[in-house]
Amino acid sequence: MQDFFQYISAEHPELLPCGVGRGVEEGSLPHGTTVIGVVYERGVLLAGDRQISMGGKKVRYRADKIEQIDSHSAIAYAGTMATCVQMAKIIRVSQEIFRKMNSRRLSLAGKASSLSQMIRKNLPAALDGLAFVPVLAGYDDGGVLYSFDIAGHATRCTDYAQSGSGGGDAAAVLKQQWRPQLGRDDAVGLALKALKNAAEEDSATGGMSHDIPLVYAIDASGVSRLEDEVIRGLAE
Amino acid sequence: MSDLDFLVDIDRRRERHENYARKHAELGKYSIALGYEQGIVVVAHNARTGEGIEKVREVHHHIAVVGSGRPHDMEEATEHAILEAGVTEVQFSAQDVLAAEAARNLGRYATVLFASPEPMGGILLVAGIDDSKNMMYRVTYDGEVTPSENFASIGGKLSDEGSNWIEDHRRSEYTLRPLSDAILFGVDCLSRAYAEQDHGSPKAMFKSVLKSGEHIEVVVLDRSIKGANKFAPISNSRLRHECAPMTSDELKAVFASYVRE
Repeated sequence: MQDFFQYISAEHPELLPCGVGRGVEEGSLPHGTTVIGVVYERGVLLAGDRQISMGGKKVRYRADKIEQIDSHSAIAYAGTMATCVQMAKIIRVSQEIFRKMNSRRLSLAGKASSLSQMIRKNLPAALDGLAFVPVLAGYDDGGVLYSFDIAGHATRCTDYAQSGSGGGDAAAVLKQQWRPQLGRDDAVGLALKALKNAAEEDSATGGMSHDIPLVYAIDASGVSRLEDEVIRGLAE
Repeated sequence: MSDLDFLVDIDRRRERHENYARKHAELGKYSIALGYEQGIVVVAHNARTGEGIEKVREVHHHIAVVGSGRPHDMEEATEHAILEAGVTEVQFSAQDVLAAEAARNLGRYATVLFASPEPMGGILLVAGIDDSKNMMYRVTYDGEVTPSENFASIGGKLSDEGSNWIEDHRRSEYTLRPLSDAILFGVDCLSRAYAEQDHGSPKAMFKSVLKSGEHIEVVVLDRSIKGANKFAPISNSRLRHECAPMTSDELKAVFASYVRE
């Protein structure tokens, strides 16, 4: 059984993001910034601001930085948008292909391991400035998160995880206020508070003024995207 | 194959490869794809149903493939089709993954193998639906792709009498009927092929399927299914339910029509 990522690496390398052999000038490419994951009592959620930045400039709003992988998992990503979008697409298709070939879905730990290999393979490009640093969330007898570093090391988190330039500022809030057995609505409120703090401290992170952040909740029934109205209500 | 294989006359080598591949295709079990009012139903004989070894496989949300021949070769070819469909989706989009493309891809794959020392031992059937049309493709060991719209079959070695019966009935009675009719016709065809191949009783096979749903795999590609994924295996219990409306007179008529009883 062939792995899809290995297959395209060998047969269609042009589909993978690649480094140019020299660093890309900082701020010359659009970047997606802060995304976070929060585990709650019955599942896990992913949230991300909607801003794309190029250096100190805000270039686009209403960006989607969360991609559903299958019925019970999704990734939120930070990094160079071109790399992130392509990698997210490859991850989604490779999970589909695994299911078709094996008549079962890959476990969440398996998805994390597979994602680690992809990020590791992307390391030369990341060192050139084309980074892809996701947070993986899924439901596997409870909500679980995996955070990654730029070299592909995966860390399993049962509380919260973050990525992107405003991640540290968001984590400061999450560290103070996250507690076990959070209800879903409380978890959404906490995620929004963390994103707001990140936006205040980090110019590359979008706040609530232009666009409502994107929030996906994952529980036993699957992945669902929260409506803007629901998020707006929970933010107040 | 020896290292001196290149010394063999091309026509003789081709003939040898054809014999090899055809033999395996005929040894493989009969599978059939039929159009019905909402899409395509694929019916295949599978002695190992319930063991997680499916014969009818999903290439993409609306495309299925089934093979008849050496299991390993069929598995390799199916994996190739699945991977290449994934490449098309990454390179372009999910809407650009088409059954015709998958069949042509498998044709190229088979062509390359046909020229190698070990050709693909079998035949494949690719079935796919879009918003309005059913398409089916037979892909042979030498890479030839034959399209059809509402009926295609592979595998087994049916007598002329059996083939003629299927040909006559598919045209006159079953094309684009409801799902239950299409499934029953598929099971009927399979029972005939099974009986001819294994010298068994088509009646016993038909009854066994109706009773237990064992040894048979049924998958539909159904336009009416909500969401992107139109590929849906039919469970044994649903299969029994679909076959249940047959009255005893209808069953008697089916049994009476068997070529060999």
